Amino acid sequence: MADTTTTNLLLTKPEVGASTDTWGTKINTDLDSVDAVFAAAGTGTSVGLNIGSGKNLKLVGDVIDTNGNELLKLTATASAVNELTLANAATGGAPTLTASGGDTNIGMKFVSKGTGEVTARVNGSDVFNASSNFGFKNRIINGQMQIAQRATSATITAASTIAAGYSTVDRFYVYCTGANVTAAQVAGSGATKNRLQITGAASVTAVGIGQRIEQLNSYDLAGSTATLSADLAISATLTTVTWTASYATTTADTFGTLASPTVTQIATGTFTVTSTVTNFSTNITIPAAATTGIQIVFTVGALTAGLTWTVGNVQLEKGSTATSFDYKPYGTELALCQRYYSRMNANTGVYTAFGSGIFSGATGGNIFIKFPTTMRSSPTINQSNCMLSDTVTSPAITAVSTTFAGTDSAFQLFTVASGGTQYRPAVLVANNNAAAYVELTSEL
Amino acid sequence: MYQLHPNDALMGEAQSVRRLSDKASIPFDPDNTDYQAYLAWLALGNTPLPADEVTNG
Repeated sequence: MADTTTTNLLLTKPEVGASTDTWGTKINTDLDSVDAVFAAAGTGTSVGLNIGSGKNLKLVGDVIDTNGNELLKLTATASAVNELTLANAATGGAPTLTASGGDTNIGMKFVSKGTGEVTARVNGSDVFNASSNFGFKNRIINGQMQIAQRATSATITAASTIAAGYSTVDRFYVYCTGANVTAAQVAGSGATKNRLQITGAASVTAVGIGQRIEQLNSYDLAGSTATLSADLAISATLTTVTWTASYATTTADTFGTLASPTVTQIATGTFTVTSTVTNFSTNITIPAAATTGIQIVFTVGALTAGLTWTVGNVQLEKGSTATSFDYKPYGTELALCQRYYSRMNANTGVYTAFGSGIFSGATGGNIFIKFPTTMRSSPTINQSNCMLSDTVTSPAITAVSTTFAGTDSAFQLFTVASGGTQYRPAVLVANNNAAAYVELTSEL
Repeated sequence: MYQLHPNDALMGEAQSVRRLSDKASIPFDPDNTDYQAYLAWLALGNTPLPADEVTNG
């Protein structure tokens, strides 16, 4: 019988009763091979371990540090097919941690414990914090209900139009049936500054809060999973808030009216809500056809007298996970709102100027108005408590007349009773009134 | 209810209409939902009030 070898290290096992004068050499070679597995990296009990290509190191226990404390724990998943691949790099390169495995598409999750953060550090400074740095993930504009250009409180007339429902916090319309309700921007709690609250009344049969998301801001959601989340609370006796997602059926950004909607329902569901503000979320599978703009609506039933419904931190984001709310800088959120509605206010300046132009006659003047931001469409224009002034005469505006408008500016004819002088400069200013404004509307 | 705007002495033919409920001026932009509502109102057989006389020039 000739010499044989061991299974794993291929050590030579000298033939018993043979290998005369060679077995000692063979044994010494075997010992060197075993020793080589533990390439020394230090002294004492410190050793290296070389796991060769195609070989595995099976760890059931934990990896501990030099002090005996836990350093790395491994958790086995039954029938796992996906894993992490760690690669080092040559000079100038960056080591990588890569998701790999049997699936075609594999995500990666970095999960903190409790309120712990997930951060990344570059050049000595934290440059990424998962709780606050994922900006602009929210397709809902003004989801934190902080912008309220029109008013902080308004009465919503029963069975009125969506256009009339844009009355308090920007971008959200409110509607009701049965009787009027009150919509108001109210104080939030914790990190949430504001919420929208609806106060019911006798005979109210239903209330809805909705937002229409422009095609340009939702096109990429088509064919993917999105997650809708919101803070909700409602007075006792009502417990159900229904959510419905739809898309414009045929024409981009054309959703129709409350009476004649031109939308296709994507999905609907309910949240069981209490009087304590709680964050709810749901996944929505957005169909590939939903490239024309998306509408999100929350509804409740009979919000009768004394009952309130509170909504805040509304978020629609790509992916199947409801992540932390996407807080944006106030000015940024305001600019996003101004694409759909913009109110230029006099504020404390009772003669605040909004535009300038020329008197075209005794009873009118054409004024150039530059919009604060590019609007979604040529806007509907209105004013309150303004006048046209050439500094000599300043007649009050009696009507907003012919509009020549694009999406960035307008040449607007305003009518006055009398007092204009043709070809004199005309400035559109507040008529000694801090409540004066010029408003531009281009809502969906 | 709506009222046609007068043509403008400087700019020519009116490209907007007045909404009488709030006296806002609605431009003839197909993407403007107020204009879409005006078109729907017309489609029901309604007719806007005629324009006032030209107020400028």
